[in-house]
Amino acid sequence: MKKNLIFLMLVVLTLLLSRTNVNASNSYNYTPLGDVIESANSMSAAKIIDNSNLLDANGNKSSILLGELSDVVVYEDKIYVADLTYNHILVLNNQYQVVDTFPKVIVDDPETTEDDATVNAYKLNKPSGLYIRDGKLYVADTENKRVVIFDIETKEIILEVSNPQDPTFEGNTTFKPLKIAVDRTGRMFVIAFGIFEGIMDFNPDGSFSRFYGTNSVSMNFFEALVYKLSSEAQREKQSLKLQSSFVNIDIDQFGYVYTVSKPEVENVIKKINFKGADILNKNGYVLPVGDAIYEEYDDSVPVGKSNIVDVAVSADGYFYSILDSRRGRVFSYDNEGNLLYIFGQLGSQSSMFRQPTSLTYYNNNIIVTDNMNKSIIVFEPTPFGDLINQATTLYLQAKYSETKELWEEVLKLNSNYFLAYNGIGKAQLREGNYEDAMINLELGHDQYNYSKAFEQYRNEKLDNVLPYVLMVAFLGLGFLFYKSLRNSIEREKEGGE
Amino acid sequence: MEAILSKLKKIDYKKTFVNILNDLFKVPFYILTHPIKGFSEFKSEKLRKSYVAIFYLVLMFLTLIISYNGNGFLVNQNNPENFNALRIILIVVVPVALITVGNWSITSLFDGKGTMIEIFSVICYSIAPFTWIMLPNIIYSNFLIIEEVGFYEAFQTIAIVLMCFMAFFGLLVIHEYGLLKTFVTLIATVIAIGVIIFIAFLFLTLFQQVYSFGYSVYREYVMRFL
Repeated sequence: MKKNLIFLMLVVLTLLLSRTNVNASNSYNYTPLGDVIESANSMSAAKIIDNSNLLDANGNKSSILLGELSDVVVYEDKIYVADLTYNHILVLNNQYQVVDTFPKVIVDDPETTEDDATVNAYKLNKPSGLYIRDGKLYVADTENKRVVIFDIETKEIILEVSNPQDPTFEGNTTFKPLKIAVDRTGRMFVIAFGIFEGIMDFNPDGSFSRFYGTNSVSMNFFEALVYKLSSEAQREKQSLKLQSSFVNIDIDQFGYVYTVSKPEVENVIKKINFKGADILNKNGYVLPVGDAIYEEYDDSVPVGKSNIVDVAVSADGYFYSILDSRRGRVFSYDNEGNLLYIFGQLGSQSSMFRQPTSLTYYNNNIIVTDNMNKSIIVFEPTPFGDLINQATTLYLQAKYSETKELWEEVLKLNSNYFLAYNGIGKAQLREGNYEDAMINLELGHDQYNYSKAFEQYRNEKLDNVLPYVLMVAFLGLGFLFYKSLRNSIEREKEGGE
Repeated sequence: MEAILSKLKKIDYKKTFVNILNDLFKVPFYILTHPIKGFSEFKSEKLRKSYVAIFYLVLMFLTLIISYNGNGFLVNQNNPENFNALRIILIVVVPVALITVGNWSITSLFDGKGTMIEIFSVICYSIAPFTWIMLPNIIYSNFLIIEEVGFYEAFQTIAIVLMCFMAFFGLLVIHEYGLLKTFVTLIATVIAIGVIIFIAFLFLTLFQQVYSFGYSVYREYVMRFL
């Protein structure tokens, strides 16, 4: 009997301990006051494609290997991945099987009429950026110093963009495109190596138009003081203080350009309109810069600001995600600037990153490529993440009342998800349930909408109380008036006598 | 016991109460509205009461402590988890002490006529208008909407301006200075405070090193001989 009891206790203890182990999740988010708080998992690695399981179109093991992957885009249910090692672009279908490659392989046929120059024109050398728009595949072919545009069906070269006509390139500077995005009119926005003037804007015909969206140089107080006090000759010897160059680029369906800059810049993520002004919404609890809290001095963990390497905007333009290579995390925001969820981590498991390079949206999933693992990881929303996506989408479509139930579901899964309180509060505000709206909006720290709810609530209360207050005040005034009138009449009488 | 009771009976409670109210509210208000005249009476005619100074110093940090959690949601960005009453008390007391010592050490070089207790009292009396405005402001801030937060901020600014105004004229009068000299001594006071903080840090690091030296000697002894 006693033995059984001990055995039972051991079992219970093991279960308890194993349970705490399972719960050690790495998901977190930020509270309204900027503290870190644990969160439920929002995205989980659903599929991992690497050299061990890469299949060709027939479902056999593919003869093509993955190398260092630099960029990934999705177009019409196909995934295009740029490979720096083998200098080609892989085309994967929705089952993640290799169905095609770019550029087309030209067979060495003696009878072919094509000469060497044409053959060479098709060869890529370090294709580090990709974009697809209207059936055209734009490749930033870095070492060939050109942007090359392929037709996606025929795989023929439509246009080559090189040698931009600008004084910047008259000296030793060569045009080495790194990343590219294209808007709906066919204008190309190119980030080039060693170009500090800004994003290069090319016309659809390939001629260079302008530099655009430049990062501004800022000096701190002491740098400005030193600069002010130094002479011309001294200034020449000082190292040039250049604008920080851009790292990556994406474009949303409305034509706003999302850019990533180096972490030294104040606005790491920018949403640039046609005039070149930054119009990114920053209404969230923390700024859209990746991690808001990080270690500065520590040997055991990566230190410093998030090193954002890529940004991707969802097809509907409601969400965008950024990829931090320093701590291997993906941060997803809605277009109001709220940090919706954080997922991913550095590690040696196949579902973790070692050197993530790029990400893109594939419907609701997010695809991340990893340079060192030579893998493509597909993240799929968990029920928790899915509810957040649905609720945010409905909210941004101004269907406020429908979001309420979804946010309540979110709170069942994670009661520390503060944006959900905001969502419920906003819905209640529209319903006219001001008192409850105030409670929820205060929990979610939304001061603007709290103020709106409180204004209505205060008016309601005043409507009840104010008539009585005014009545008493008028009665009091009337009484005083009557008294002074009577006094003056009496005085008049006395004076008269 | 009997003696104490009879003494207690002799006190005119009503008059004492009126006197205390007079000291706590009427006198500071009189000084605020007539700074030059008020502070010279403060110096010459014993208008100054130390308990009033302490009262306002305490009221100051009580105001800040209440406002930390009591301020309305729209004007309150404090994290309630970080609330620390001791820190708020130090935030009030340490600057007052530093300004008192710094100003005294400078003005005694610049032929200031004010004593240390007078400087301390001037600073504490000048807190009075701040607390008068800010305590109602805490209540008022709970009934604001975001468009009206400007009122709260305006009152807050007025409170700070009045506090600086009163402290400035108080120091001017008790040291029997002109305007310019008061400015100069105030700037010198800031420098003096800097020097005091610097020396304090120096002492702190020195003591840390002495302590660690003593501790390592102790460890050496314990390891070798015990």
